[in-house]
Amino acid sequence: MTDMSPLPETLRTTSYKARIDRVRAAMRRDGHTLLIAYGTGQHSFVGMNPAWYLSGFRQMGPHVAVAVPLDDEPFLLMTPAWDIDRARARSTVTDIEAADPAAFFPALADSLHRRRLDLNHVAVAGGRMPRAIAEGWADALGAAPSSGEALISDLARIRDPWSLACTRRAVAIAEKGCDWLEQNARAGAREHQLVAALDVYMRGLGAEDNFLLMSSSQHNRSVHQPTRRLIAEGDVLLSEITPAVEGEYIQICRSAVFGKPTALQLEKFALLDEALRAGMRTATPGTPVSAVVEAINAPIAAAGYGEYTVPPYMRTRGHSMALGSMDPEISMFSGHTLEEGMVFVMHPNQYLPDTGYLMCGEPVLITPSGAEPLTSTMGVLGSYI
Amino acid sequence: MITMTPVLARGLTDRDHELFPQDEFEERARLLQAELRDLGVSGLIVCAPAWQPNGEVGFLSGWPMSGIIFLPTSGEPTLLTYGSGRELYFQRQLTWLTHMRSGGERMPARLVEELDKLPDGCARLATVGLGGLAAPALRQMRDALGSRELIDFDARFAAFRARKRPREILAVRRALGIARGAVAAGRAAFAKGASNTEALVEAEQVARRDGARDWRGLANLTGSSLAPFERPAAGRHAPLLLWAGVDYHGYWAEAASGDTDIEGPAAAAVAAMVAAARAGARAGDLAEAALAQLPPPARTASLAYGLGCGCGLLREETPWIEPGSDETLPEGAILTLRSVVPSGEAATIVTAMTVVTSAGGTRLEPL
Repeated sequence: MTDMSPLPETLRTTSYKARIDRVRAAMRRDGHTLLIAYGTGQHSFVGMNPAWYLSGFRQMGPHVAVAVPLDDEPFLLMTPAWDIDRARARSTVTDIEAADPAAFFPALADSLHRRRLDLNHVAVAGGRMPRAIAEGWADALGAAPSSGEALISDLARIRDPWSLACTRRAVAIAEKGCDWLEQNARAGAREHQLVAALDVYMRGLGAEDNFLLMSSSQHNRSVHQPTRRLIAEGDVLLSEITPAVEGEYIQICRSAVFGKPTALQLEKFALLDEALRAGMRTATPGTPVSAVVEAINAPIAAAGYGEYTVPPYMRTRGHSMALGSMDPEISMFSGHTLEEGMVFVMHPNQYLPDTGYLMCGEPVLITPSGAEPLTSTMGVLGSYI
Repeated sequence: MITMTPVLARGLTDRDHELFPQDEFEERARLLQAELRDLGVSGLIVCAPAWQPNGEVGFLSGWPMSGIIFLPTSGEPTLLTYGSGRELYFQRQLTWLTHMRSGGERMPARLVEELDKLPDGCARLATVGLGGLAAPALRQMRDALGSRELIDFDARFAAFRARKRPREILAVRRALGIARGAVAAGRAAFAKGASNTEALVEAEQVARRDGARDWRGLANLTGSSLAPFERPAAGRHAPLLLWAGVDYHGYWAEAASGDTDIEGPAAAAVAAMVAAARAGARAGDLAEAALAQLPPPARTASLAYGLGCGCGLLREETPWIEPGSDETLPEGAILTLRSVVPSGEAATIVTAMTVVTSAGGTRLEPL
């Protein structure tokens, strides 16, 4: 029985306090007197949200800033004003002010000046900021700030206890989602209605959001959002199940046949599973991610599919989905190196000409002996009968 | 109304050919091309930032997508998509376009390749959405376009789109039908003993089941203010206040738990705005008509949550219904009008999807 009781609040508060402490140590090292962690309301699982990472507050409005002075208490400025009750209930930064979205920069400038903070050495981390915001800091602060992106990302890419707890909970929800699919997915259902029911099932387990892609075909070209398609016997259902808990997304990639898989489908899925396991063995601390990509691609190329190991037949061999850092990206070109404690999805998902696109991916934790799956059972080519 | 943006529009993603046949988009392109020829440009480029599909591109492509669309003054547009091309097969099924390719990392260069196919190389171009690109993307785009003269077409495009086409109105009515069904499902669940959070989740499930591409939901989950779903909760707070925003085929509509109210200050405020929504009226006039119907505390709350705005391919479009606004209402625009009174004896949320006409607003009926 999976434990779905609320995650311990004390772990949350101690981890968030430790994040502020670590940020301050890095600010001291880099010579910053103030760090502003900004968040847009455009939540993304391929973009960091520094404000959420430092406050625990998932914003609705278009702007949130967490200001962390080196020596004074941090404060949070959020939008819109009517959402302040939710911010007070969830933010671990307790000094909270609200502003109307249109008045965000003037309100921030006012808050900073009222507190007489040193604005001479400011860094801003904001992930993917809208252009008006990216270009507005200099006016609001009196001078162009330094980039604080790496400062946050370097701290966040190694998961702290709270991040890991949320990640493990999200994995548990995703696995229950897989079980639900096995019990409920049947030929005759419409794709979008199956996705709706699965999505809501995982919400009931505590997934606040979900990057849920699911589609079917007898010869898939890729996975995509659901259509009206009536699922038929022989279709292969591709699922990218990606629930989030407290902003930490995890992803499980699965393939299943409505009916009995063919020998060819089993053979090609086994090839991708072999590639995944090769990648996991290679993924030790200190290993460049390019070596992991090579390990994944090697068995696929050896089977005669080398030309299919690049886009448009696949996208990437894996990626982080963490709140505070997008490292690592498992591609030949990211330049990242693995470190113990990193978490990401590793997925040799790709198109093969004989069977179509197949998905095979696990959330993994980097340990001294390689990548350990966070799932209790690694995926197999499923069969929904 | 500001709501929680999800990580992905993950609902029904399928072109509705009955609602949007090929000729609808051919006509949109034809009408725009006539304006472009009047302007003396070789074509129009419409940009949506990576990972942020928007209504501008969607209006021409037929589906909300991120990318760049190039519409020459004659012939079919070309859509350049972000990404490596893996998604093109599926994306082609969502649009009416035959000219689509992946721009990927080389988007500006790919665009220039398209421009160079025209005899004059498109020396003079109208643009929409350049201002929404991130700074590095904008820089790359300007560099790639070189010495071409760029004419800002944002305002003219917005005016062109402000008056909704008949099939756009049908799409909003379909979204409204889904939103109303979702709210009814949430209310029914609450009546049977569900918590406010469970009622909100039930509403979402019904919306997605019935064809919502995207969903926004707010309810009084903890008592006095509206909030989105974040985690399961057992608390019951009566009356249930539930607001639903639904996107069908890219078009938005909203509904709320008080839409059936015929009495009370919120219903009166919305009715006053509907009556005042005549072509040429100031947006500020609607706001003032609403505020005149509300007692002071309700006035403050309704202003905080917002009295409404334009609606269509974007959940929130101009004009904004705010006191003092001098924006005028174009005939044929769709407005989403609302009054939120989150607490007290008269607690409710009332909304009305309204078309602006010369005789005042006409409430849309769900489809």
